[in-house]
Amino acid sequence: MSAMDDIRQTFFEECAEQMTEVETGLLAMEAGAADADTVNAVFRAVHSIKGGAGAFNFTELVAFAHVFETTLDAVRAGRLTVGAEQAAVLLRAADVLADLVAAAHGGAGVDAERREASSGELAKLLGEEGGVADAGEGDGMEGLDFTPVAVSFEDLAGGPAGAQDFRIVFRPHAGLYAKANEALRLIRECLALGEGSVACDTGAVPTLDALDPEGAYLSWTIVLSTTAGEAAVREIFEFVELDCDLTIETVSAPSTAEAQPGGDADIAALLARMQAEIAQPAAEMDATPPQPVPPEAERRKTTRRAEDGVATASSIRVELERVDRLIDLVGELVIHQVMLAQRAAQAGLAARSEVAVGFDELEQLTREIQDSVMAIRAQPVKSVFQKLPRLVREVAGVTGKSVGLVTEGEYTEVDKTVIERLSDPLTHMIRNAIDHGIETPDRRIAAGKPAEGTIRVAAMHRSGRIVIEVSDDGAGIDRPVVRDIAVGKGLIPAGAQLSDDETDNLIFLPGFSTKEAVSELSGRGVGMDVVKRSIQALGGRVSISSQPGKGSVFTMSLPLTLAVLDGMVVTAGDSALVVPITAIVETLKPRRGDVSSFGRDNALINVRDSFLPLIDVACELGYRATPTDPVLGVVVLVESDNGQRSALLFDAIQGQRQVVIKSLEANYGRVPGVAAATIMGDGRVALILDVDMLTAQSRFEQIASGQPAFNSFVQAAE
Amino acid sequence: MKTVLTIDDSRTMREMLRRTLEGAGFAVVQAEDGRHGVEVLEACQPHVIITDVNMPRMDGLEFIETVRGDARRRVVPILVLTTESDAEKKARARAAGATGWIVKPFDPQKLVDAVNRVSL
Repeated sequence: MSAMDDIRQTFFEECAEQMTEVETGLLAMEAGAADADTVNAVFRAVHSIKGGAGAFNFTELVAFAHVFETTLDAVRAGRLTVGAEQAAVLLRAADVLADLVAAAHGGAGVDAERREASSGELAKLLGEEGGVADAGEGDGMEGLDFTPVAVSFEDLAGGPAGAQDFRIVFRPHAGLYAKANEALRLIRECLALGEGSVACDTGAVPTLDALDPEGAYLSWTIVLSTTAGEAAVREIFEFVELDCDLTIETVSAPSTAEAQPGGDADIAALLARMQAEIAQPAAEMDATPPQPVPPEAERRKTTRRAEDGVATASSIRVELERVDRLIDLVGELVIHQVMLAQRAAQAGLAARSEVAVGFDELEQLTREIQDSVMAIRAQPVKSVFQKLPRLVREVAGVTGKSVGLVTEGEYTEVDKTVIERLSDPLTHMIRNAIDHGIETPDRRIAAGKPAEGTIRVAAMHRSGRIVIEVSDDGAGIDRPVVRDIAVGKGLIPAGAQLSDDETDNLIFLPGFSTKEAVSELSGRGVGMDVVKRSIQALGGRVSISSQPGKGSVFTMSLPLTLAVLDGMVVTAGDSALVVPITAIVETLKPRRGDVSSFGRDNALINVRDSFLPLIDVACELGYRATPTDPVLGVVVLVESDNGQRSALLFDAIQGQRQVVIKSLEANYGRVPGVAAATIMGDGRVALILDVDMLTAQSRFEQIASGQPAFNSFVQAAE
Repeated sequence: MKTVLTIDDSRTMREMLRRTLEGAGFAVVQAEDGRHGVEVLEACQPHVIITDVNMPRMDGLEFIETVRGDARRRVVPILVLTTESDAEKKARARAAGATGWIVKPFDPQKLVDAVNRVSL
């Protein structure tokens, strides 16, 4: 059923938000910085998950959330004080809860042992603090087996084989009406259970001058014959049992004529009277209030509340599709604005003319609109950072290390797409930092450091990009070991002279893994080269700096958005092309002596004593049949994702520009060597080069890949 | 058409309540917490209110007390949504002035029955 599926979807979305709330709150509690509001918010979040899960019959999730919630309730009520130890238990429980949510969402099931261990721990917390309900020390299973069992009283009473007769005396208090309950409704419910009669006792009604219009003066005696049993009768009065005098007796012999104390037994007349009575308060509600004008203060209070509401309703949910469409349109707007400005310039308008000034203003406005629209998609990196504490806990647990996490700049904003793709490389970097960087506690103590290592993750904006630093205070990169491994794996020649920086960067080479036995964590068959590749795929760069004994810092730098790109506009043949700035190492004008030809059309260029394949892009893309003389062109040195450098030969460089990315795949089709397209100010389409593909597919492919990747580097150093 | 105001901070719950009640022919107005509920009441007069207990800003009990303290709308029946069927919670809801309660997860038919019952 699709309606239910929608709600399910909502439920899981909400769970994700609530898990974030839980985690944030628990971390604050762990740091001792939690106020009552935080504890309440955590409790509410778990409570909500439980409520929703119940509706979908996620029994395991409900059971665990219940145990968790019971413990949190004790915290909330002040019966349980949260110290480091308790916080750890609660955090572990949050992890289990998150996994149970994931399992309910169709993910892998949760290890029963872990779940039981956690609910055992939770129950134990309660037990120690002098206890509530299902706290138990035993095997920690009590909470899990909690299943409410419906007990049928009729069965105990021998079964409702035949009809039973009840005599119900019901005398409402004023409080019953104050809670918007109605005697009429309750009596009607009773009669719906079977057959019976009602008598109203009006004896207590005072004279008019003594009558409180909101008082309760009537009482009723109902004689009911029903097969439903006493429990069903009591259930009707469940809501009101404290607001009335109620006696329910079983009458041995059915006798409807019994006891009808002073008054009219005509039910119809009685009901009519009651109708009239209840019509009165209802009328009151619609008509003017019975009280004199509400006091001025009261009115002011309600106005203020309304204002509060306005102030807090400061965010809305918008479908991503709409935002993307807006971004697309603004992209078009930017292109057309540039085109228009160029046309105006071509038409010979003076730079100081009013039209030209108007264009300048228009350009500024367009930029602002573009920035604002991009900002809609921007989200704080908090959502990614929030997953890190759990990761650090888990990795630290598995490796037997003690690690604390410090995050900074979690409100730094970046495009949603970037955020989504940031998670994996960041996760991997942190795993790596704990697994390879941080030492075991005894080694740390021996080195004169605190037993607990620290991982610091910081995000910041720097010159139009987002920079994320992952630093640890571990041992730093063991350069001799790294070197030996690189030599052993044939990544560098045995005698290579490398600077410290170059040695550190060896870990990004494909096929490099410092731990001989791939450890359970960082391992998983991927190395830092994968991290580097995924960051480069986002148009980013990653670098490392390390100090032996003091730790390492990994720095990722990413574009704030994937919708625009900083590019170098170049000419090849008759076409304009865009090379992403992130791929460019340097540009140079080749000298005759630096270029050596081999074969028929192939050439190498000598850049500071290192020979790189020289790719004539115009030729490569089929703009012309034979390569031009390299000396007439410009060489752009690029580094592809795997660290290989190549020299691309273009005819000329036009300049650096920010371009709006238009997907070629979505609008035309996939072209090897081309990543996307953009529209230039003159209205022409320029292709954005996919440097990786271009260099890989070039005729130098075999030569390039046949060389150990760092050869050029090493030769340069020699 | 009878109007029901539902107050719950959980989107899932709000969605389920809305679909259930609209499916049974009620007009549904929704609020996300007690304070929001009070604001909504400034603009509409529901026949029945269904409220959650645990909510930020103003919880369900405080909301009920606020409504019962307001002469213009104190006669509106208020049903409390509660996950537990435990007596203490019910007693607290009752003390605050709740007309009745519905235990979560609710059976759609029972919810509709309960609303019909208290709205006469």
